[in-house]
Amino acid sequence: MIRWVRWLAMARAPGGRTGADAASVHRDPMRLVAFSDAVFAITITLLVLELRPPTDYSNMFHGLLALWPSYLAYAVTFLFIGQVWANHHVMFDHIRAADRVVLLLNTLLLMAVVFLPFATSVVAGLCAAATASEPPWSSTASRSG
Amino acid sequence: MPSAAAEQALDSAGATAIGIRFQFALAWLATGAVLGALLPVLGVAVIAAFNAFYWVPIRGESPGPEP
Repeated sequence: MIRWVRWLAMARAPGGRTGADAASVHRDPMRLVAFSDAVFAITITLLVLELRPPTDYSNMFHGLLALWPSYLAYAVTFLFIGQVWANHHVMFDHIRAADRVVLLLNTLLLMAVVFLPFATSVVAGLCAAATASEPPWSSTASRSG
Repeated sequence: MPSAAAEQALDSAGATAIGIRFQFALAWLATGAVLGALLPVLGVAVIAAFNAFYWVPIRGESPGPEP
């Protein structure tokens, strides 16, 4: 076991030196970028699953129009993830090595990005609820009529 | 002041570009989230403006030629 741990430490340290600080070990960020790209690609694709087709096929056009909050949330979130990816891409043109802190911060960023399809669904639901609620005067008018 | 490890991993132009880029990002997103909780359409508008702003490239964001 101890031999295995020593071998692992030598394998992780640059140049095979033992006892190197794990936080300062410099790694090529290629794997981090590849993993991040995969997460961005999966998340941006999952957004379309939040678009539910209308259930009433008797008036398809009206049903599709009524989905505008979902379209809006989809478009804004798609462009948001796109710009996060673009800035991530540009930022990693400058970063030549990834230590533990960069790995942790990148993981936190990906955690927030993966949460976005859920947030998109919530925002679309809120917008739909806000537009579907009738003002008080219209319900009074319908009762009196 | 960046640490020695950061100086090895990131050039000064990159640090400046990244710093400028993300100086206001979290505050902008937090504002959008708070406004969105009060009025969803307003929150969407703030996030849409964030998208437009952060799609625009800034000076120094592309690294210079290798020495």
